[in-house]
Amino acid sequence: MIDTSKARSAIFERIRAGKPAAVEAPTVPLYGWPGDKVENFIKQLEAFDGRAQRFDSRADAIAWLEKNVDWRNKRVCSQLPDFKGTVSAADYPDPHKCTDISATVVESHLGVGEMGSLYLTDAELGGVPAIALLCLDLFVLINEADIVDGLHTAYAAVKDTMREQPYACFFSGPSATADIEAVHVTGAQGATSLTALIYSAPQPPQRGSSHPDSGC
Amino acid sequence: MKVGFFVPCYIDALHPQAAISSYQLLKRFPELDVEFIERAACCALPLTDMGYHKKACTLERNLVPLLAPYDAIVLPSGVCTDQFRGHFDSVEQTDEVKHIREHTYDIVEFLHDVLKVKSLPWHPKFPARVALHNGCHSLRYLMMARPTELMIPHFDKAADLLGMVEGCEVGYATRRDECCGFGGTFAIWDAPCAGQQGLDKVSDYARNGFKHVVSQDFSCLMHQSGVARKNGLDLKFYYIAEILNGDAQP
Amino acid sequence: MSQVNQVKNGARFIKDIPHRESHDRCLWNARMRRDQTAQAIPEWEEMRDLASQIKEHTLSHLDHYLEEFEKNATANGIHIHWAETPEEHNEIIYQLLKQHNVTTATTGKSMTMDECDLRGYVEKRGMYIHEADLGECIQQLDNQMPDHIVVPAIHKLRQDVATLFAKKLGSDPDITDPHYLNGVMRAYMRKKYEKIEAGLCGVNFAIAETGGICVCSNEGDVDISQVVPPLLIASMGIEKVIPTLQGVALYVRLLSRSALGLDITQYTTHIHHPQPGQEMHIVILDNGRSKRLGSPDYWQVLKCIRCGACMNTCPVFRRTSGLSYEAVYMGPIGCVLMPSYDLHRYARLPYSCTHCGSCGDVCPVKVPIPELIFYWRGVDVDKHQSEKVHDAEETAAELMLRSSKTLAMGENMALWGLRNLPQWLLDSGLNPWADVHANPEPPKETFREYYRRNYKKIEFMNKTTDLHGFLSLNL
Repeated sequence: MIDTSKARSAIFERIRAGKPAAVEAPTVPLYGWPGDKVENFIKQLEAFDGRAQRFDSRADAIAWLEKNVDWRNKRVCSQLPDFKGTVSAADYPDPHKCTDISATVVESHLGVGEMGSLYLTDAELGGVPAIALLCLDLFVLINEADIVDGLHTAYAAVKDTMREQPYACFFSGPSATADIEAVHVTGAQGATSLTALIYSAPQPPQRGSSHPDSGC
Repeated sequence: MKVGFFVPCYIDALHPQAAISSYQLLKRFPELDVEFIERAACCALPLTDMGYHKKACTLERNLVPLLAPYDAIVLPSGVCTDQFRGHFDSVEQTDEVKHIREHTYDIVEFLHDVLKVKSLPWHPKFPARVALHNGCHSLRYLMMARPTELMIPHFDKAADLLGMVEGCEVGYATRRDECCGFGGTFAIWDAPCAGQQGLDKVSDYARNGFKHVVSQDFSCLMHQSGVARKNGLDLKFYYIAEILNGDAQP
Repeated sequence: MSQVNQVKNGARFIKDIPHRESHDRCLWNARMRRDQTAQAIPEWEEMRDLASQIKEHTLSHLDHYLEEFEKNATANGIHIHWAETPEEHNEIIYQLLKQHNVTTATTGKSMTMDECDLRGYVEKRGMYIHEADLGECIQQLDNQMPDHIVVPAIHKLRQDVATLFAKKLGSDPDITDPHYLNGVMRAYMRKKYEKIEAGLCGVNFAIAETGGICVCSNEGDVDISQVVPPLLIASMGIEKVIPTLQGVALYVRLLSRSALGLDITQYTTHIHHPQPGQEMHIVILDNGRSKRLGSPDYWQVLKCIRCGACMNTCPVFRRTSGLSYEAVYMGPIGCVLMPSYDLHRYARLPYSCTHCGSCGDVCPVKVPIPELIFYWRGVDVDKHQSEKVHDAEETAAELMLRSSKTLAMGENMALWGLRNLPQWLLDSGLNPWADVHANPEPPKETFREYYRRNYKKIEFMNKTTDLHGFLSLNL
């Protein structure tokens, strides 16, 4: 590796010699987002060509998955304890191989109403983020209690834990592009579909298991 | 109030009616002592525009003693008003210079904000649908209307004044505040782009069925009317004071 | 290198009606979507103020935040490198690729790498980096610079892309549907991803407090490049650092809404550590930034977050294309950035501007672009970088405009010309105005003449005090 410490000191020297007079840091309010969190979430996710399904219970969501995931000669990668796929992240020590996954099923513990975003990290992705990127269809379970109003709230919820995760991403719909004549095309290079399965839980989720503050 | 009336060079030479209507309009207010600042020449905008700050300085220095004696300096041009308020900075910022910069108004601002005109008792009439073109300097540097980029409450001072003219129905082009391409020296240095912008603008009026275009910046209209005539479009262009003073008829 | 003539380049694009109209329409629509989405947020203008203030705060403490970032990133297992010049930046990355025997590398859009022409540098040394973003890939295959920093191939029509892909990737030249063309691209890139050995990416925000980076993208290519290969190299300018992770929320809320009118990008990704078994490097580039920071008139340009909103709204950019600027940064921000890279080559860019001010109003971090345009025009004149003809013309103008008397003479000459010269002469090349305008109808008299005829005597009778003034103006 090239030693760049000389460049470093030259850069710092110039910065220190020329930086403008100190400007104070402003206080940024924790802006919220008005309206029903879950309805906003669904509306926004659909605007990003994602799909949303609501269920009265987690069991209903799992049952729906059993029926709707394409199993025919396909590899289904699941990270859920209560939904068994044909493979899981542990089967992919080499992430290059993830291109053979047709569907990936994971759970998110933080959704954002403002943008319809789902927060996923290495923790939810079994340490192999490629399973959510190189698969065709991405299914994400989320407890509706885990959906927050806006992005400021979402960052406030993960700002102390995100640092532990090599990879942490707000997924907002499937991959897309508008690079040719600004025509919106869904399914660029990442997953070509994203379905959120929103379930309500009879009991509030226990702290330490599924809450975003828990340091997952 | 002692008001100095400053006539920009392009209006003096190419559309004196804008100055005549403005001058007569100001003279209608008995509380104003209006004087045409005859010896004042160019506001130095073309020089500042091109980056000739040093040369702009000579012009600005010559202007200071001519403008300083007035309580308010009123111009029939948004773009020149902005030159005084925003860019009169090649000269030393003395108290006189600061006074000038703070008391220079475009005539629309002067009527709307200083005189707080609520009606036009001489009852001007303009029974027609007009497209209002808020010139970029009036819009974004003098803030005489809400630029569509800014998420602030709607206001439009020129439209407020035109609303006091009997029969005058104010509308806008579809791309209501996109630049028409005049840009001062830009229209000469980059004629192909200025021409295309102008053509897009006048075609926008025509598509929306407008026959009359009004603006508080005649510089834009000079450009737009030149493009419209070159392309055979039937549009008439008015400086706002011509309508407010009752001098123009559709 | 010769001076860029944006006007001449732009004129060619203006004449190409289908391309120009499509370019203008696509980008104006982006601007309209931006207005719509921003309108829905009551705190929009407040957010712009805050985003600007945070940037100003960070830049005025840049040494502190860069040190904090370096310390935290290093603790996270990321290797940090510093580069003063594009050559240093490129050599660091080239050596890393070489040490890892990389044969297949993909890169998500990175402005810093484009700025350094990293691809060109490694290609000369026998290595090829695949642009993985669709628009960038189109431009790479076409051997052309990007047209726009966010949508690099937006100046192309679908037919152009179909022809290009047919030639380079063997697709059907007659199918021009963007969905099909995107599918061709997806299949092409998938083959690369199966054996990708190194991934490269840019950085939208580097977070001092946590030592991680945030990258915003749409297609998934960036994330794949980040997490699949055993080697990850990110590249960023020194101005990309912000103090806190919470601060990212503010910028993410502004970025994509300003750029394309979308509430967020499909992937808002944070990398804080390398993946297990992966090696991760960040190259931090200066390339004149620390010098810009020291200019009291100019340092605010460093607030730019590269959203491209100024390009979408610029009436000149939309009609003349980004390629006409022959620059890595084009449009309004290019006009004020490029002269700081090469004053002679880009001396004329600050003149490709009508001063409409729209770029300043859409900028999510309030870079005072219109003021900086004036700044560069002044620098250009002081340093005589521009065409000499300016001097002659502006001296003449200054002589003419200096007093009311010389001005009246000039005006009268112009009016005499309009009234008396034959039309063919008025329409000739000597009068660029006439290329696109019908000449104005000359009025019968100027305002001064009218005033003298109608008012002057009366006012003089009323005000005999200003005798000196009256005499001097008749000299």
